[in-house]
Amino acid sequence: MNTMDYRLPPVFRGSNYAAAPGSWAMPLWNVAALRAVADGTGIKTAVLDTGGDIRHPDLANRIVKSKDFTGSRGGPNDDRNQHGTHCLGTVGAANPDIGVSQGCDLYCGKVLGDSGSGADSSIAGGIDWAAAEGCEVISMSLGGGYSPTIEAACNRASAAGIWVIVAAGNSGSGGVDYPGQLRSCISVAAIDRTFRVANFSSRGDKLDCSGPGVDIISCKPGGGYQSMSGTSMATPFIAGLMTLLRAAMKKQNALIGTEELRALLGSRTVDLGTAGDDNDYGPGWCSPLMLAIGLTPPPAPIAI
Amino acid sequence: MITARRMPLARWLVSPFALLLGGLLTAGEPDFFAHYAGTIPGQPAKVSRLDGASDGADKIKVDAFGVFTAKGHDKVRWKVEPVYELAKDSKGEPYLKFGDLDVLTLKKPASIPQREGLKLVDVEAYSAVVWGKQPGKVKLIALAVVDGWPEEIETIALEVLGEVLPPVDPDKPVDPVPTGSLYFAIVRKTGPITADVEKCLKLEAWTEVRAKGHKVRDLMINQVPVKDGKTIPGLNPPCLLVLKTDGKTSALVGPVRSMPANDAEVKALLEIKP
Repeated sequence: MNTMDYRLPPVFRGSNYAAAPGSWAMPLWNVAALRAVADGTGIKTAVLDTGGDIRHPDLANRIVKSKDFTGSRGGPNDDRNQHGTHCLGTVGAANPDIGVSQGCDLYCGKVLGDSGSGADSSIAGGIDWAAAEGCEVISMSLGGGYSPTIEAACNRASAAGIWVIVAAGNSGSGGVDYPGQLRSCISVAAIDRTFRVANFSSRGDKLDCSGPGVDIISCKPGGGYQSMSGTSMATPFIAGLMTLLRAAMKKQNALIGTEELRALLGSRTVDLGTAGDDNDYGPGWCSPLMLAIGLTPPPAPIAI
Repeated sequence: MITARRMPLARWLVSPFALLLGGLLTAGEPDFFAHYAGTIPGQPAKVSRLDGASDGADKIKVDAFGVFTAKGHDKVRWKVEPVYELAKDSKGEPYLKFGDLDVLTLKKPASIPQREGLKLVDVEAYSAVVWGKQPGKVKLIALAVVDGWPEEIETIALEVLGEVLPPVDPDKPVDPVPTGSLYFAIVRKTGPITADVEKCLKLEAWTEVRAKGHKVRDLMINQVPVKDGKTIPGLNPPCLLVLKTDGKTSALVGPVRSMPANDAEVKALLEIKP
């Protein structure tokens, strides 16, 4: 069993808040445009991370199942690292100013220990567990070196039609981490509130979209909220959007696989930086409004 | 001890005074049974088809009609009820076969009601015109008075023939291109959405356009569906196509237009008639 440091620690831990001040990303990104189409109901979304505090008021009724793959004493809902609780909150906190999707069922897999490290077998086990539980979207704010075990698990999930959303990494120009580089995963870069790429966000030609990853406010274990920065924060935001998108597509019986999703993101994101797909932003920022507009079926063939 | 004796309540209720009062109070109410007075007892009730349908006595097509009559009674009322999909027993046999309506062998209530498929019009006292509205099966029931009581004198199974539509999902968007509405397609270059197209799509006035029942979306130029491989003259993205569509084929409404740059230009599109 290989034990590797797959954690992507937040590059910045900001202020703590007793009451939720609301994430800047929700209104600025117009998440409401996609929520108006679907709220994620009927979709199970898994967050594989350092666990999640199920006692947090915003998560208490949102996490439907948890499992620990690390053998920690506290179990899957003892998140001493705080990273997983933050990510869970961004995907689906009950507070709509914090969580993207209020309709989905959250699954919490603790695949990283309290130190933030995890074995590749734990991560692969978490992916397989999420797939077996019927999760359709998996959010993984983790990364590291190449692991055939994790690749195989990601490939299995993708082959089953599951969308695996993975952080690009926080190494700046150091390149996109694994498993973000895999074709079976959607990799996410981080941008700030001015739509500029964060300096820590990993660059490379294997970027599929950009999400808000600077100064993101979400749940803190024990109650309250805190801000963090990193591609780890952009990833659950995109996973939340993909949950909404998947729910909308499911209504239309128009589900697509990972490659089609990558193509969709390539065409429905808003171009940032250098024209076209680039190494900083990938295709661009993942706009909920554009995704919502794209759900309108194309017109019937035009007769000239 | 002398006490005043009062008439018991039961005696009040059957007293001539109470009966007279009750009769007066109910005199204005419609008497359902009165319509069926004059039943001819002893004659077999029979529902028959008057319009010489070629589909069979128990079948009508969607958007067609059949005339049904029940002879043997001078006054007949009609009603329709949906037929239910029947639960099956351990051998896979339905608990109640369709048509065995007088045999009460239904062990388990049906779980999935089918949609009512008929519109029923009483034309005379003893006949009815039924319109096939949606495919499916329904019961057509003739009601008459037998020995002073309303009774289902005849029940026939009617099948409305036609394409069976999937169950209606209230959450599913309605017809993607409603007839009579327009489809505004903002055609852009292939690839991510550029800033100018994004600005256009974010214009508030599109909300008003959508509220009128029109469809709006952007299309990459390679996504524009054109019949027979022809090209649309003047199609140079970013631009706007206004389409009228019946769901199977679309037709251009006017020439290729420039992409709206502000809310006023979007609102001006509402002047275009489908």
